[in-house]
Amino acid sequence: MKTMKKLLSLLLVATTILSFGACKKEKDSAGENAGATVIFRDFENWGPDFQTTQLMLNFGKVSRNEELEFVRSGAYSCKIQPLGTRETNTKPMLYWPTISTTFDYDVSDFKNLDYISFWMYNASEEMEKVTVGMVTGIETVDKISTLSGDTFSLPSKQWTQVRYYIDFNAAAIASKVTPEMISNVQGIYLQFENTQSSYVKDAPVLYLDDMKLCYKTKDAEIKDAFVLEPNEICDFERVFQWYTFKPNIAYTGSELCIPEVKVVKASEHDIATTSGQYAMQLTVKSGTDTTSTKQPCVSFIKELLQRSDFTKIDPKDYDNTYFSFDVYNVQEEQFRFYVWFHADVTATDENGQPINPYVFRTEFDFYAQPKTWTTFKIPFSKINSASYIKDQKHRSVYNESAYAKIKTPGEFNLCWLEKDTVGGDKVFYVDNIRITQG
Amino acid sequence: MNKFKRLLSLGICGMMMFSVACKDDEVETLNTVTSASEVQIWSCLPTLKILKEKEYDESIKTEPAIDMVVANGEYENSQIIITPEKDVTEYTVTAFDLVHEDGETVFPKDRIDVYKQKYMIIESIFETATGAETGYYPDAILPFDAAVKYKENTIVANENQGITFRFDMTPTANEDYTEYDWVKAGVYTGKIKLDFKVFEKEIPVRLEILDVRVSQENNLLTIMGSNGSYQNGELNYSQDMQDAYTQALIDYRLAPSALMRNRKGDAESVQFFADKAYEFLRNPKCSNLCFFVKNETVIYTDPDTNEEITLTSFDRALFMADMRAIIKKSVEKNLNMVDKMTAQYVDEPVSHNRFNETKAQWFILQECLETIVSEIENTPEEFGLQDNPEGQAEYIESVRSFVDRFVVTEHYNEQYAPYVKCWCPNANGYDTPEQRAQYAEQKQKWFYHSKAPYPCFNTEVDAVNLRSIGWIMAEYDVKGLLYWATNIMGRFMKDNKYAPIDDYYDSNVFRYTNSNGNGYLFYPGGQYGLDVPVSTLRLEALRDGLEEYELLYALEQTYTDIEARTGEDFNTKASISELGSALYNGTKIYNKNDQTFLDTRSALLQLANCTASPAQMCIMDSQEDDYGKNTYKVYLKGDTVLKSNGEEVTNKKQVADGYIYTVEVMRSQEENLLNLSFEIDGQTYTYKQSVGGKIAICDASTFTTSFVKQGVKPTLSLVDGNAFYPSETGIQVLKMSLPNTNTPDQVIRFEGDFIAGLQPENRKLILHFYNPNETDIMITFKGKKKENGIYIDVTTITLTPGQNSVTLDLSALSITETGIVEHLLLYITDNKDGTKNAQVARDLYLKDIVVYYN
Repeated sequence: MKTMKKLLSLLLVATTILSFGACKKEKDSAGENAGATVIFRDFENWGPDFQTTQLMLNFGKVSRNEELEFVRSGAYSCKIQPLGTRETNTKPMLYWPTISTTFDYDVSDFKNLDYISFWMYNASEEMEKVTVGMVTGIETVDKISTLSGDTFSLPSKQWTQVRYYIDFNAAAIASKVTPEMISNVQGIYLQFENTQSSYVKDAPVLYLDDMKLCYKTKDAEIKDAFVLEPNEICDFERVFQWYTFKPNIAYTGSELCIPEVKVVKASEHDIATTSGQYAMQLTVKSGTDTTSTKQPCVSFIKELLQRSDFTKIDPKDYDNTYFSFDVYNVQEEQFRFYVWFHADVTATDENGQPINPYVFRTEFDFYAQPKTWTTFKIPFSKINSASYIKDQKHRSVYNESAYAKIKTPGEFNLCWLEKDTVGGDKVFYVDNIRITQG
Repeated sequence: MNKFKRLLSLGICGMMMFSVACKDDEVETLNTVTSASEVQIWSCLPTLKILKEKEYDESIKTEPAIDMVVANGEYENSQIIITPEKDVTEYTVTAFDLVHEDGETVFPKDRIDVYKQKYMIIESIFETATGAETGYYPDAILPFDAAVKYKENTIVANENQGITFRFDMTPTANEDYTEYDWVKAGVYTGKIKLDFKVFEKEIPVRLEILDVRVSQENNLLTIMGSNGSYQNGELNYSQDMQDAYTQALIDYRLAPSALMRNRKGDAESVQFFADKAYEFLRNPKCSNLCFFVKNETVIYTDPDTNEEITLTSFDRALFMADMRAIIKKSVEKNLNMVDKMTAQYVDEPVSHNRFNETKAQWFILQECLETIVSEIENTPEEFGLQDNPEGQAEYIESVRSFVDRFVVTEHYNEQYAPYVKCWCPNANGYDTPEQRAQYAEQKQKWFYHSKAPYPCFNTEVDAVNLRSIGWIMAEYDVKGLLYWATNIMGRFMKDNKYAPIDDYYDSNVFRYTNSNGNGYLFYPGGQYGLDVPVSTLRLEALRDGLEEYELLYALEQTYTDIEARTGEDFNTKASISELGSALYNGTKIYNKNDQTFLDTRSALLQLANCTASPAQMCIMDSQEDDYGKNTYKVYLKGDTVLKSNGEEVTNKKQVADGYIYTVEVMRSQEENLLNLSFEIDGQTYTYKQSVGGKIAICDASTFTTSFVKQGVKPTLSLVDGNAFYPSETGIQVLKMSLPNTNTPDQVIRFEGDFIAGLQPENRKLILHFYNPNETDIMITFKGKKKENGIYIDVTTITLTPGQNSVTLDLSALSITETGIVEHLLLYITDNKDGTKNAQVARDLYLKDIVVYYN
């Protein structure tokens, strides 16, 4: 009944404010919502406001708040107690899908969305932070893809209005954005700091209310910032390239060894780059197991290879064409790296089971020499002749002939052995990932 | 219709059309219940699942009442169904204290939990052997208080609404579980009140608690997948909620597969794991827990071939760190938790062709365990075991014996056998004596779920199925039960990946491939403001059976004690088998929605009561011949007189401290009972057990035209059978002469009125064959169902030279009114190894067929 009243009053008071319900069933085109404000979640009803909420790894707790002191409007708000736990290094994240067949709505078209607005009350004693961003893909119940968002401070003991402006041209996210994606945003996420605890009693208490979608009068114009020079894969000089890599937890056995990666200005670290001003600083974290063959790594997104000249090389030139990059080793000892190439193919094995093949060649290893830049080169012919291996679970070598590799590249990983990390953290600089000939 | 849209429409229209709203109110009044005559309130068997929209025959309905006989220390459920002619807009259910027959003792109302049954739609039946139909099935049981708070205490006209009442007879334990305060045995009476606002209805309650105790120590082991994606349903992804699921499973006498969702693996994480394990294992109802399984990639050199293989292994460092911490905690707390630790890691290796990995995993496990053993030997102080050689020996044994608790979900396979010590096949892999013999030497026997008629957890399967699991495990000494997932709240896509869902109660139960309700036994409590999961009728049924396992287990222990004292040979398993024979055969569970289960349970309670008496009555042996005669050996301590059907039993022999009586029951009546009684210390004890229905013997002349050509054409003739059955003069047998073939089998068909006339109440057939040949012959029986033309394997047996008795379990055929058997095919061969492509002509004799009724 309260929702009905609320919706009615919204209708009567301002014709430009639409209820979330009004936008359901048919996917809203930009034109229909032009200039409007749509209530996305007001948390007055369990479904869909709470019921569609999706929690990511170790999020903590979400519940319906009935204490009016922490309600911005109506009778209820959303109580959020984010955790994160010390068992993982992930920040707690939740999201609300923009599409639900159960609740018959679809607000996934963000072409002319100006900003997302909501109110948060921080009931804890400390300042808290919330990052707001967009979910671009929902792969599984616990795996999504996102665009980098904006972080807002939430001062203690007060309501804060958060406005997250949608800017697809922002350098931080442009590397991954396509026009199709903008019309099909899968969700809106909030991310908080990791409390290092698994118990709700240790979580900060936050309240969320009145989440709205506010539309512009015209669609966003998208520029493709993902532009590479000939033969360039990633030299870290363009800002979008700074968001094309990350530590890969999936292949890292021990969390102790999750590396730290960031782009730095080389001159500030007393090294000269092999190209431009910037390089990726890689801190290899020390493990404890001197026998472990686990492979911590840094993953680079598949678009780097797919949108470079990598796929355009004529097969007859494979012997004389190389995947190359430079590594500076700060240490006094040499250090061994491996490179794994994945293939971006979806396939089934001989039993019809889905496989996620990737290339794995132990020959793709090299030693970064101490106190100098080492250039590493992998011939395309070797990459192309590598065997596919089924996913980690199955592990058996798969017939490679059915799939192209150079033509359908996926992500690639720079890896090392956990046992080689024992003894202390190690710092390296990686630069100028490129295609070379001869 | 989504609520928002509806409300919005109402809002827009409502501004202009207020009168319409008034009209709606009038309509609502006309359609709501106004008197008791408009509401049917009824009882039925607690094992029945009453579908929401199905109209039921009056024959299954009884006057609304709760009348239960229960063991002390267990939970037991009853249900009341409400079927209104008009909408019920609000109702409440209130339990009251029950009063003991002594007039003083109270069974408090807070021991009576009231639940609203919630319904899920099943649109396709995958457990076809059950004869189930599509519709809305009750599954989740929502605490009624929550239903009221969230305004779900309504019923739509002409729909059934089930209310489950759970009576809690468990004793209260002290802090360290060393003492229990048991509920006083005896008869309690009282009432339940249903309040429909326009009228009230009182339901009489009678609760008889026997002085038979269900052990509060769980003697079964389980691994119940517990790391499902419950977080989105619960909106709580924390250790608190993980603990809530763990505790909920333990409350159901089950053990979770994991205590935590993620592991860092450092010292703090390892200590947390050990502390958490102790927190739960100190409760005797928690009989086992699992090591945390985390993967790592290992390059392993096969010691036999020197071949290097890369495999995904459990994380060795984490496993050993956890094992060390568990040992230390065990020593510190004087509770050997190592013996209670299990793990399930290698999943279906044979079917996935993972021999090398299984073998490598075996050696890796051995290496890890021997490393720990070496540490206990060399640095016992690290474990608190210095100056404690007995403790060292105990924990070395516990660590080494972990291989017996390293569960591999797979059926026995000879190639893999050297590297697997704890097979865990599907329950259908424990069906026949030959199958069970493969696991005879296994120190800890396990099985996991299957498809009906075998133990099956899916929603459309009747409660009797899950409830029978405990009985089956008791008979076959299966200590461990595994179920893959209890709290997956996503929809299966492929490759072990799940898509999010956003409707956890009203959606279709079909979330996993070709199965209903598969992968979840809990529903989220979050949307009802509960910090615990919402349970299901399936879990209730499973626990009821596990509690009955404890009664059977205790019975067996008592028998063993008496056996040792008297020096007599007790065939304890035969007694358990005899009890369970009404419920299952092998591991196939009869699909019966009648009183059979409750009668069988009643027999168990009576037997336990008699055994607990000063006379310590034991059914020490039970034998059934092929012609309907059941013979029982009954032990009574001292000179207590045993009566059968009220008559003193005179066929007895004296033993060390009592008598063993012989009692025979012929299955000559429509219903036949073993009906024993005795008096001691002024109290009469009775034991009544259904033996089954009347048998019918069909002699050979009945079948002279019933065996006809399929692959070969048999020549049939009635001949004198005295040469084969010398003690039975004048007997005629059916001679079946089978011509030679160029095929591996001689296939003939058994058809006619006899086969067409088989009914659901026919439990089994016993065929008496004579094999005149000098070699064994194998016969595979297959039944063709008339309604779908599908052939179903019934059994394969071997006829040795001479007389043979062949039992055909008809439950495999799932005969129902709409699913009769058209004919049986007999595949006859001496082609045991499958290498022959021809069969010689041979004769076979059939003496008779004995038909058994339930």
